[in-house]
Amino acid sequence: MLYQIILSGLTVGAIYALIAIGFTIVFSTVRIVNFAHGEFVMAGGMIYAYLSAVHGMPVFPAVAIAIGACVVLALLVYELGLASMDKDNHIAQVMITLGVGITLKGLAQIFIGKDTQFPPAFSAGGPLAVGGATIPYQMLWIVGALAVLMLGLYMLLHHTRVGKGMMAVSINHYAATLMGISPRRSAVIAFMLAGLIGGAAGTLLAPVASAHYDNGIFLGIKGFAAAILGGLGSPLGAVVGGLILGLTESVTAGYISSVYKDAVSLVLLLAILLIRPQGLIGKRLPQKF
Amino acid sequence: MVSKHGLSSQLSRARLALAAVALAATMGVHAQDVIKIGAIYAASGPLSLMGVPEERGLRMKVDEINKAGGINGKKVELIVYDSEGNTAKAAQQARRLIESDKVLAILGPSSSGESLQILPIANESRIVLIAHAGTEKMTNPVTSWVFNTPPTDRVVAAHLLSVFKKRGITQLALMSAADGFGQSGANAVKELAPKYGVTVARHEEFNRTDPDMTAQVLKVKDSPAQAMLVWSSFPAPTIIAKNAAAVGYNKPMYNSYAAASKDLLVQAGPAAEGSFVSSMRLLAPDTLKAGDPLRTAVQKIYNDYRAKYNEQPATFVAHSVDAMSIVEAAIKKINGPVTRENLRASMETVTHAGGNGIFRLSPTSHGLDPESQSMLLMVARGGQWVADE
Repeated sequence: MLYQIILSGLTVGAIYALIAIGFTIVFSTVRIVNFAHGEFVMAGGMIYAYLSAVHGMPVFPAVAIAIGACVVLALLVYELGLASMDKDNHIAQVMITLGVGITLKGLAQIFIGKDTQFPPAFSAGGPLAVGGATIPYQMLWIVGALAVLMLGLYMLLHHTRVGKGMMAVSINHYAATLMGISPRRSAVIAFMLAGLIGGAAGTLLAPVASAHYDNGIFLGIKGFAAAILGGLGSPLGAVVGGLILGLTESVTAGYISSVYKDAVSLVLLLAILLIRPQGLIGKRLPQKF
Repeated sequence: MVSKHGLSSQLSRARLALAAVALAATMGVHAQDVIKIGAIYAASGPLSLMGVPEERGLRMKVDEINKAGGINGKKVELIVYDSEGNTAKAAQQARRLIESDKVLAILGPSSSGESLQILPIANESRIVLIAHAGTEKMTNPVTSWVFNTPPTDRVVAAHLLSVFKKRGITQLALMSAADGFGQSGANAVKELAPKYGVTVARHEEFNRTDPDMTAQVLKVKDSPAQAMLVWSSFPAPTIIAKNAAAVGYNKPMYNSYAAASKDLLVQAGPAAEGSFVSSMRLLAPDTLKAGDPLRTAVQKIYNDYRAKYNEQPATFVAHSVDAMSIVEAAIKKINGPVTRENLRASMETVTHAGGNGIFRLSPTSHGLDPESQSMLLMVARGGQWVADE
């Protein structure tokens, strides 16, 4: 039973981590919390479910289109909503992301529908038995996708000019501008990456946990909590935060009480923030200049 | 000054005359020839999954009545408002139906929250309200003017517990969602369980939208419980069925009426096979036994709805069809003028076998009760719901 609970916790944690990365990437370059991010995840799952259920599209083309649509969506959110805003008016920017989130939810409800849908898993069969415990194949896809995306993100940030530019913007906006790096371009890329990873998370999650227009808030809160726990702004922190959050929930539900599952994880979050306000892996934020 | 006064008094006289004509018109034409029924449904917004089938069911029933010549020769005129599932809006619309549309009775609204908001309004304004709410607070305690057509959590819990008793299940594991619906159901089950000799050996909770309930399922698997009862709206019942299949849970799995839909079978596939649900009969009218007391009523609603809207009716359709059928029966029984007060009194004498069960309305019962045979146990067999009683 212990193995199974740990495995379930880690796989759920991998989902939270995938969502958390989207918050973190946008925060580190644009310095705002994108509250529409949960809706990108929702949109990924909904579009995938729509394409496979209504149009009978095979799994991988449907997933690819859903993720592509989320990238475009994220790009539009930035270009139409945020790009022209006053950079220092963070409250207004955050309010825009909230408004965009509500709009996306409404659009999904009108154009895709209100039914709870479970699109097909990426590969048939399963679950896989591992030493007395079982994992559904879809969970392996989720963990695998997390590993691949993390690796890709690491390569991008540390080994390409574009990524290094984003890091520079995240460390010091003005200095980066003076060095000829465009903060706007970094922001566009950050949003597109958030759309990509968020959309991917949505398509991966939908076969196990359903696609529904109303899921975005719940998923966004879990992902945001994971990002804060690990340290907002650090991709590695997002992964660590997500895994710890998933594991805590699962162990609490399995060994203490399922009634207090969320309370225990939130108390843990508070405790960690009291001891390390920057999160487990996060660095102290540079002061505003 | 004088002429102005003269003009204004002339004007007001003209207005008075107009008002008198208008009044005579409404009294003469409307009150005599039509029966105005108001309805409030969440035809849009998140609750439209319920509101749309309810409104369609009502329109279907009213068309049928009017085609047959109306009630006692009077046509039924329907005024339907869309509450969008918003309680404040539903309350405003109720007042509008009462005061400006002057309807005889109000049907709906779709949700418990809206219905509880309108309950005191109906009693103060002295108008019959036939709600479609899941909460038993609508009719317990009974208030003079408020009726309710769906079965309540208590009715469903009593049905499931009687099944457990019959099948020798004395140790039960309860899995409920950590929301209002799950808690209300869990409380009803826990409260009634001792009466049926059932012990709740384990009680686990989860969020309705949690992506994985394996930890809770494992605790249930590890417990002495002989069966699992899941009390939650979607998607949780599907996720639990899948998780249970994955960890090899092999005892019977029961679901509340919230999972009584084709969705569970489509979504969970083979993982749902063999699981049970306590449902209204409208879920599987073709599989009802020949001697079933509600077979005719249920099959009629099912066939009429399919013929008119070309789709399978959701179980909510019976809420509004039954409500309108009861109003029809009550009006027919009125001896004297059709007024709100006479309708109320007549409602309390109606017995009606509808889609949701046998209504035996009386001054002490304004809805369904555990003896109404509302619920039927269904089992998932070969990807279909089949009556199992």
